Amino acid sequence: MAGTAAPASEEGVGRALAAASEAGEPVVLRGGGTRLGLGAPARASRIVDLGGLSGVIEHHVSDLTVEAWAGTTVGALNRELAPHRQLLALDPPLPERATLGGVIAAGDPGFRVFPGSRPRDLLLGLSAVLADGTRIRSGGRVVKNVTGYELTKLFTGSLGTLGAITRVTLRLRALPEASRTVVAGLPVSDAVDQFADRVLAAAAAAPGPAAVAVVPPGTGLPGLPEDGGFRLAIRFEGLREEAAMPPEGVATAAGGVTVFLGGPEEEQFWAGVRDFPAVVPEREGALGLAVHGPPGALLRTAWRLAAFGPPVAFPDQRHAIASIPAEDFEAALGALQEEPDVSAVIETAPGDWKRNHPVFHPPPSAAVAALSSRIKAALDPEGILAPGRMPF
Amino acid sequence: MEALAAELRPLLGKHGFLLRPEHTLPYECDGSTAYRSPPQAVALPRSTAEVAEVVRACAAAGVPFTARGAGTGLSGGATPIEGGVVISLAGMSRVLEINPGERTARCQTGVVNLEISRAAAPFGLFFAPDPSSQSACTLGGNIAENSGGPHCFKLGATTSHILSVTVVLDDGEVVVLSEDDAGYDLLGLFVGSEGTLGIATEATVRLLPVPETVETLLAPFAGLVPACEAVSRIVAAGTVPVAMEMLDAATIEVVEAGIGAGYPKDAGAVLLLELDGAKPAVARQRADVDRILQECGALEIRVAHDAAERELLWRGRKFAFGAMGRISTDLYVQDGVVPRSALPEAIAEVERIGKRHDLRIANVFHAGDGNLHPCISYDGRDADEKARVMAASHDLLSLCVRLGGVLSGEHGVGIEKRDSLDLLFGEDDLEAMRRVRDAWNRQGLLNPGKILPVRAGCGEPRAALPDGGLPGRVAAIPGAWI
Repeated sequence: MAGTAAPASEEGVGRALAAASEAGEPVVLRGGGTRLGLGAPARASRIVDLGGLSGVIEHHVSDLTVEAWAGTTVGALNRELAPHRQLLALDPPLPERATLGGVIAAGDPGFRVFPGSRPRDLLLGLSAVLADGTRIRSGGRVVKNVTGYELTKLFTGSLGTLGAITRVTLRLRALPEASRTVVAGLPVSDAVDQFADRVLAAAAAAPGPAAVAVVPPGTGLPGLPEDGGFRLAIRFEGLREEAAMPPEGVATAAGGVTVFLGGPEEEQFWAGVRDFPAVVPEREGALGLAVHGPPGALLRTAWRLAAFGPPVAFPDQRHAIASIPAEDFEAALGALQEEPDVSAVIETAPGDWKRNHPVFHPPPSAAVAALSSRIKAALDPEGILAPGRMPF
Repeated sequence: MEALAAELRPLLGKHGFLLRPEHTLPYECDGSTAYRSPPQAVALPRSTAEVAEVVRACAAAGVPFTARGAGTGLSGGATPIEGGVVISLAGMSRVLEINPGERTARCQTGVVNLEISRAAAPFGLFFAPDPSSQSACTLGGNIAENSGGPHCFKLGATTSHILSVTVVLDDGEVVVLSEDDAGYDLLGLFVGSEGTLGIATEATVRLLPVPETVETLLAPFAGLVPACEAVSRIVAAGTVPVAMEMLDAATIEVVEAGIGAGYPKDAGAVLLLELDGAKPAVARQRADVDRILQECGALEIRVAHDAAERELLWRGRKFAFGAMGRISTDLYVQDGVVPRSALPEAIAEVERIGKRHDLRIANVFHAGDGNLHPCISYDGRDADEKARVMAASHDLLSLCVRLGGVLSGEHGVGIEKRDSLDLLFGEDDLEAMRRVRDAWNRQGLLNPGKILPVRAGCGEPRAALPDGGLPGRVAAIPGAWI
């Protein structure tokens, strides 16, 4: 490594990237470092740390929008918004370290359901510095906008391969007045199809849930006594009347015991769910696997993967995370292949495991890979930014 | 073109590839009729494979091609400004599958927006994007424009509701772009790209459960400014109505004369507001909203008591533009957006702009999103008036940008606003967009002349705009939608 630059301004980012371009040396961009390992291994001889670009630029209180430097952490921003009773509803793992730019580049969907907490729905505009040091803007600060190409969407989930996100404008919401979570135990005896059907039926019975998660046994999260079965957690939040929604339908459809969580216990539960993807790498020799697909296929896959290690599933987000021992990888792949509609990405892996194994399952089609590679070349023609990281 | 016809007619049939001017003329423009340019041919494919064949043939012959849904667009997106072949998706209009368990619908993109909700209704589900043209516009057009509608205030525009699309690329290759894909969010970039990156032929869309309760309110105010204050305060209070729509006195007058929706004729503005959700939550929102409306000087709060009354209140809003056909031969509608807190200032300034240019500007807009629709009635045969409309149009766009807003909230850039994009974006921003577009649209044959300013002398011929760039004009007939 030629070293780390930690510019304190947008111009500084431009100079650092232009210098790397000039030298022909590839760069990895870093925010809070919580999701740095995502994607395939990238070649890099320089790191540009964007954490120095921090702070709120302008909080448009009555518009419920905020413009902030991309190195601001989600936690710090939310502390600043709290006195105004507003919230940025991004729920990345480790929000005290995760930066706004990093969360957008990682594209983690969070746990809140539609029209909830996905970066792609909350990001209204951004500024970025391209590999040659050019600064560009996309989007705006209004909540509805079809003016020009949606480069904001392209940067969301781009893993730092298209440009360095320097400022972002995000949509906020009012801090919920109240929240409450119902946790239902799912019968241990459910076979795979029964399990998926039951979760979908119970989630559908919940009137206007704010979050839906399926958590595996043995997580140590507050809630029900361990009986070896999955739990379905449904959060209601917003107005007091919304949080107090009577979820009898959920309990009946779930077919098991239910408990309510509120206050610190509830926060602890969701913090555990939220941080799960970042905690996975701390398990010795474990792979962190992200699975994407339609809710039913996703839940069936989660059920099958539970044989190898604990999965957390967010059916509405079409997203699940599983932690599996590296030695079980081939067997876990077999479980994935039972559902043709799901795809998986190895997010985290020990040591140099990713250098020796494919990361994307299945890899994108040749046409999508070619298109993606042309887009990369359009914005980073020299291939300076994290080359090798994306699936093409 | 004869050669293309010879190649494609065996596939599409004699009536699937139209060449005669009397057949192709209806395809010369979309809802913004100021831009007209007839295609040399119209292809009417019936499947993704046929669309791919047409595209392959056009690409090989170097002929530009433009996809078209129902042609209700308002920025010239479906107008073949550089001629070539229009590829109509009208023959691909089926809902292929409703999956109630997963709350999705798989459809061909020529399907009419409202047909998706009709097919989903037996399962208690609906498709959320609801542009005013929803009884005519197609899913493919919604995808191309990232269409909005009154209810996208709470539920999000089309982009939030598309889970995957089947796309025919510039060379005829077929790809599926899905929300579940690893890698770049190609789906997110594609939705709203106005047919310049590929042609969507099939899509899987998200369906939402029909809410337990819906309450529709109408609050008349003495003027627009206090009504806009009420909107800003409702937003700032964190209450999330599912829709907040505003009509000013000039609009109320034409709506009442044309449709008779029962809006109070003596009001300076009416705010149409809808709440939805579970009963106790709606009751609570209603109490919060009532208080703010009263504090802001609402003259009364009228509630729709049943579906028929609700329908009537919405009818006034949805057919407002059509009703304007009664007062002028031509109508120009703008689509700028301002931050919601700037609405009172924006509205006051729109009035000043109207006075300055001696024009009648009516306002009907998506207040909750800050999405303005100033409507200028004029007579297209009056050259002086037309020039004043153009000058006012520029002032209106500049106003939106000055207040921190953007040029278009839901109608798209198309031909109409492409040369105004530099009000908002710098050359580096536009160049980045151009390079990304060219990564998909390699020969520049896919819907050329749209979204980005056309650079003369860079291999892209600058298409002549009629009258040197007349602002978009909507066919001012009852039944035109916006």
